[in-house]
Amino acid sequence: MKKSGMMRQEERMGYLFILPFLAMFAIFKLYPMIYGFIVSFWDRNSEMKLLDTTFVGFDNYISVLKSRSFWEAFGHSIVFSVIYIAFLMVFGFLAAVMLNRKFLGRTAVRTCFYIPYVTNMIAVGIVFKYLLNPTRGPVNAIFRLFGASGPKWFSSPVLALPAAAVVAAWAALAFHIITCLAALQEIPQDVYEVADIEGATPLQKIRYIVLPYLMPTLFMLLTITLINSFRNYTAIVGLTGGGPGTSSKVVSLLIYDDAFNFLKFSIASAEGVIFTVFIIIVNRIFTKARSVWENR
Amino acid sequence: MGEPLRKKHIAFTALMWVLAVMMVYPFIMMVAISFRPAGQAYMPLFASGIMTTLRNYEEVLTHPNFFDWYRNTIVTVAVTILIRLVITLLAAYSFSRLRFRGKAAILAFLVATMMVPGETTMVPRYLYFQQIHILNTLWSIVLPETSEVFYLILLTEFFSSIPGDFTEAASIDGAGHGTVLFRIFIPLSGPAIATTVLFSFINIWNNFLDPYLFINRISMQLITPALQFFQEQGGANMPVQMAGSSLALIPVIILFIFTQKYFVQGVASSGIKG
Repeated sequence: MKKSGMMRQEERMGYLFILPFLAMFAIFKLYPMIYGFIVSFWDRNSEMKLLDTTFVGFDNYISVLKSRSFWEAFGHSIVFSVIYIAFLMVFGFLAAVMLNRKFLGRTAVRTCFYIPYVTNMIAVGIVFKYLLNPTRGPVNAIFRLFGASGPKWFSSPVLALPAAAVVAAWAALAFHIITCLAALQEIPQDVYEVADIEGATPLQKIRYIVLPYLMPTLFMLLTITLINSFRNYTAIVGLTGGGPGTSSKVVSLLIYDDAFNFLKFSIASAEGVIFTVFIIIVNRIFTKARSVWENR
Repeated sequence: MGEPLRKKHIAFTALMWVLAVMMVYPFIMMVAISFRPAGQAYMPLFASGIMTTLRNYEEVLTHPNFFDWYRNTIVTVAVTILIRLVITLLAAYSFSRLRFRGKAAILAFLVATMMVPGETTMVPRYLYFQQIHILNTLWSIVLPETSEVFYLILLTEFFSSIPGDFTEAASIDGAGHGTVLFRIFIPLSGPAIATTVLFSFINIWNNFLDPYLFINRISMQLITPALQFFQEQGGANMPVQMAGSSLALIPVIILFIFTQKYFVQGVASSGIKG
């Protein structure tokens, strides 16, 4: 009798303690998500219709899925994500392997690798627009030393999006390095010693020792990076503004434009819902792939 | 170490140093150009005849709203961290130490919502915040930031790693959960709390999307979106933009250099456990 009373008391305290967090979460995070879903089924596609709105069912979804601009932005988002993820997975891992070796001033060098992570993409954008200025920037000055004129970077319809993805990935590199370094330290030292005795080359060590040990970490990083790659509004605004033209306009910019420049709030909400569903599906596929790989 | 190995090691060390300089090169340029007159913005780093001026900083600092942006940012950071810590510590204690029905399901649901980027919900958030009249106030930034699942997971993981003996001894003495949390858990959680504060500081300081969306009175703006505004207003004057960027970035970079330990711990622990 006493025990169940104590249990009830613990349970009450359990709910009481999570209540403030859950209340704030429900009011300011969860409800807006549901609200977006609701708005996407109504017609709030002009300023007048904000108050006097009608239920239109899937009309907004149909016009989004039929619009060229949505699929263009969707394609740009995928290109951005693929380049962003590839850069981070490859160079995050390589940098971690190199920073794991002992050398003079390693701590200071690590700090230098981490600094871009704590800066914001607007300031980074200001600096990189300067560095990559096609005619006067220092990067193209190097190209001119060799007689080439150098690419137009953010002013080029072809290069703007990939360049933005690489700069955004560069700024996020520290997360991958730190995570991989922590995992590298878990590898028992004697495994390396055995490899040394067997005469393994550095590349063989990476292929047969480091990679297998780091696989779970890399898979986890891949899932996190996948989600982060869609949080790209600030990077694109800071670096290219979606241009030139619409050549680097990703879905997040399209949502912003449709809502706040064209006042098509319901269309923009539908775009948000469609893209969220897409993210959830891709994420499910990755999680599935991970569990298949782990149980193989 | 043999002679060829030694040479290889020196080459490797040199390579790492070159890479390190390349990582911070953009920020070196940023600071360097912020001290140049407008006409010399595009001259190389060590070109001869470069003049030094404080005019750009003067221009930024004398902007009528500059101190508003700084103050707004500091207030937002401080208030958010305070509320975030209180409600997240309570919830983390509950999730890590108390048994109640639905715990696992609630936690799993919260984690699942981390998948939804703020980018895709900006429209409903804007419309809703308009209805509850918090647009153009710092509350539109603070209140949604207080319940971040990332920090809940971070602190829950940390609390779970505290040995059970501590709490058992305390409950035998008849201490309530509030006492256990405040007298035992919080004093033991220095590193985790430091990580939370540091991460929160950096993230809120660098926050762009939310203030850009929800605040359109320039005197109410925070420092990062204000930089974007400065860029649009400042037009082509590169050194002034660089001075503004330096003033926005330097506090965070300095804070980071001195508290790196907690930063690395935070990333490593959130990373490894997924």
